[in-house]
Amino acid sequence: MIKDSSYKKHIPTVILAIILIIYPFASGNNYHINVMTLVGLYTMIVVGLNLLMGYAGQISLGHAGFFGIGAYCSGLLNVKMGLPPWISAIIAIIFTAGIAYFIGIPTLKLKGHYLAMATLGFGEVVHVILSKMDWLTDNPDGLADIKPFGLFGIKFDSSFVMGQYFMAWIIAVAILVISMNITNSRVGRAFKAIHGSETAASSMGVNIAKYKVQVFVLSAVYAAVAGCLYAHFRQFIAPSIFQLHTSITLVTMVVIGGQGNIWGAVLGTVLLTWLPEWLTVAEEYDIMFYGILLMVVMIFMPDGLVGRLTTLFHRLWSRFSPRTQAEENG
Amino acid sequence: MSTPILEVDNLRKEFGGLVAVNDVSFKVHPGQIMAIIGPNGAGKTTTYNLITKFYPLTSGNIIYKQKRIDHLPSHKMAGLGITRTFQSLQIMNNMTVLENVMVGYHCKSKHGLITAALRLPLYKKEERDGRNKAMSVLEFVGLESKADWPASSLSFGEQRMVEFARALVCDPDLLMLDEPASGLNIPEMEHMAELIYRVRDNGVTVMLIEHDMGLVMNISDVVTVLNYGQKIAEGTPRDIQNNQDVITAYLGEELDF
Amino acid sequence: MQFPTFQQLIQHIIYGITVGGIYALVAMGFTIIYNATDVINFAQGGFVMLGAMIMVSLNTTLNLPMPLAFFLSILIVTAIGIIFERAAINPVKNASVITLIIITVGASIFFSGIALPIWGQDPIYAKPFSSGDPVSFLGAKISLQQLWVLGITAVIVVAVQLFYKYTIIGKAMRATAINRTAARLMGINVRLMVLCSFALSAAVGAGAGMAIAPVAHASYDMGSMLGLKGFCAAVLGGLGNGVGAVVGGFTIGIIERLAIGFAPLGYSGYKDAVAFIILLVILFLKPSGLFGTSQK
Repeated sequence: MIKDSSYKKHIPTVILAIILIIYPFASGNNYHINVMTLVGLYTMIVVGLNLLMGYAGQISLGHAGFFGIGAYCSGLLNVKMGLPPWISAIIAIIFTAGIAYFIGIPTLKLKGHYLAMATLGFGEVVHVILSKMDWLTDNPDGLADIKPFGLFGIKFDSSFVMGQYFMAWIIAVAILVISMNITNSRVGRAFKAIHGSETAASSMGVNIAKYKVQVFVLSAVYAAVAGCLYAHFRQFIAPSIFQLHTSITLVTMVVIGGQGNIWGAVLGTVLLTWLPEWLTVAEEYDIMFYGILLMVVMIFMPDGLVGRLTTLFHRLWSRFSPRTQAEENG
Repeated sequence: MSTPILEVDNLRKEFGGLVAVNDVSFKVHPGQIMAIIGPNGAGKTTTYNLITKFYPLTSGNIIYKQKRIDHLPSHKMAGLGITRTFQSLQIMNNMTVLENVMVGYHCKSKHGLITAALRLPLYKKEERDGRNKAMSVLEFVGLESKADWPASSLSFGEQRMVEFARALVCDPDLLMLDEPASGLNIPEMEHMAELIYRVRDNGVTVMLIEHDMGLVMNISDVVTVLNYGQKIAEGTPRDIQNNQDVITAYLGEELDF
Repeated sequence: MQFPTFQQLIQHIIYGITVGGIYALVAMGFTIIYNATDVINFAQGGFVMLGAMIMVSLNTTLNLPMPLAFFLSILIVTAIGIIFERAAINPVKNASVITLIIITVGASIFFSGIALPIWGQDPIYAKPFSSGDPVSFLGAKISLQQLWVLGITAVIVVAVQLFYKYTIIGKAMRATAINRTAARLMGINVRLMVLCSFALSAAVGAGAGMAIAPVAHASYDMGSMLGLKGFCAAVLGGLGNGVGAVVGGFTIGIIERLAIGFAPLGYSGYKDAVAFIILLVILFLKPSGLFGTSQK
């Protein structure tokens, strides 16, 4: 029985994997595949943010900052010091984790609005610093000439669309699986317990400050991983993507998908990354429609899409469940 | 007499100028059920919050198993064997009943982020042990059939039981119950009293804050009475029932022995 | 580090006060809504932008005289604030902090999304309120529009204080801010007060936008940075504290300007970080802000 349910648990992962493998061949459109690669990168950040927000109940309006630190750090180490991309990426991820740790300690003492503001402030400071990096990048627009990842002599540059797609999604799915393992563990329960009741969590032996910083650093690491991949995929990075607007889009992906639900994170990311593409139909009114959609979804579905779907599913399920119970009893 | 498991010595808490707990001292002996009673605002829950470190003390000592613990943070208490429940329920509504109880197993297990992420053997072992232990405690309180329900969907009385189970799952030596019977109906209350007895019979020392005098007088070995933050009496339930100070303190309140 | 002359120093401080006045008004807008609803309105910058753009259009396209354009623009933006509250804030009940943040961010995106097709990407030219030579003060020059900014800031701050102090609605809004439940029990229509706070906040925001339009670049995205700086000012003063918001605004304006003055050559680009660094420092040291009582 237990075996059976743990087997079922993997079904969504397998379905996702199949869709992801089929997609690029079915699509055949390089532009669309590139968008999906971006979805993969955002999924990493959004899964981390979901752990932070949906599970541990904290807020961050500054995760584009960690995304940016990861990207710039890896890019600069590669361009300026000539380190191979893999090495520079690993150093960048460790560096980002360190920053998140030091920022996290004072920041996570704050709650609610104050936490939102502090993370926003952090994100904006990072954005300003990245915007004024021309003394280091020798280029007022951003950082250019970043080397692509190489594996067995194959270069994962922008012409190798499939390669980038699969690299992004293999890492994204790995992060998904790791995160699901975490949520079903002592650590994941500690995160949720902090969300549910800090008082009770603490009386049960959960070190609240420690776990808050842990989940914050973990989510920053995911963002840094995405940042490194972004830098070496695009080979050129500009500061404009690493700012509040992106932070808020990421948070919205979490909320629209459904907080506290890892699969929601994927759904939210897919929808919100594609939305601007679909809205190009509206031509110059695309930004306006984007704003309206954000408001409408939040007003009518504050629990997110997966929350809504789950409620619907449960309603249907409860209709059939008496029979199921009777069968079990009989 | 045996050495006390918990010794509270001149415990004092001031909020601004207000003295909430005024130099209270008492001892709890192993295997006892010790009740703290007193009118509303007497400082009972504040005393609990001081012992479990939710507030810093203004002054005083707390000695547990012959070691001072007043400098330790609240999350260290469970590991030492002190767990508690809350007067205002502190159920995690975002978790299932089983998960709620498994949070109580936190201090008994030690796997961390990376062990969990990679599902290393320690994770699997502790997860299995924790689940089994939690299920057995849920069975003890009679909630095993609702283990996978969202905790928020349970009745108030059942949620009290979940909290009770959560406090038991890590095999505490000292269990501090804060009004475990409040809000319960008569059968639920009788069930709770029976469970408290059984927990004590398993060797757990129990502290109890309770307003229901019937319950207190029935199950306690020792009763401590607080009023306006001060200890005004201590003794067996029979002593307390005849104590003139206690009767005066409760004057005007419904006192239903 | 460079050391500006005394005259330059005065010049920087005057600039700082001018910009600070605008931050103060934006911060006041945040405060008004936060007090009534606990919502941080990220669309506050949108009100500022709309105020400026609508006034310029009324003035240059429709050739209305400046004072008429000014007051019409305030009315229109106030109406937008009311519609925004009715359409997007009022229907949401028991929403989490994050849901409300996303809604107001959605509104701010919506406002700039409307402004972009109407007024285009480039800044539009706004006529100064009066023409004339700059005034000299301690060797520094003050343009007439800067005086207008200061004057309008002062008038709005005083007007809002008087409104809170002497009108029935203002008093009811204050009562609502202090204790919503008690206010409701006293028969105050709290929902109406929320509506009023959005109206008032929109009007204050529009005023800020119009005052600064001739000195700053009035464009569809002018609201975002002003909004964020005003937000820092509101936190610095203590979120929910009206006087604090004004002091916070001027403080950030002046410090930011002085940072430019003292920054080594080539580093003045970091000025936009100043407000956020102040924000972080205050949140880490005293989250309740300069004037706030301790965080509950």
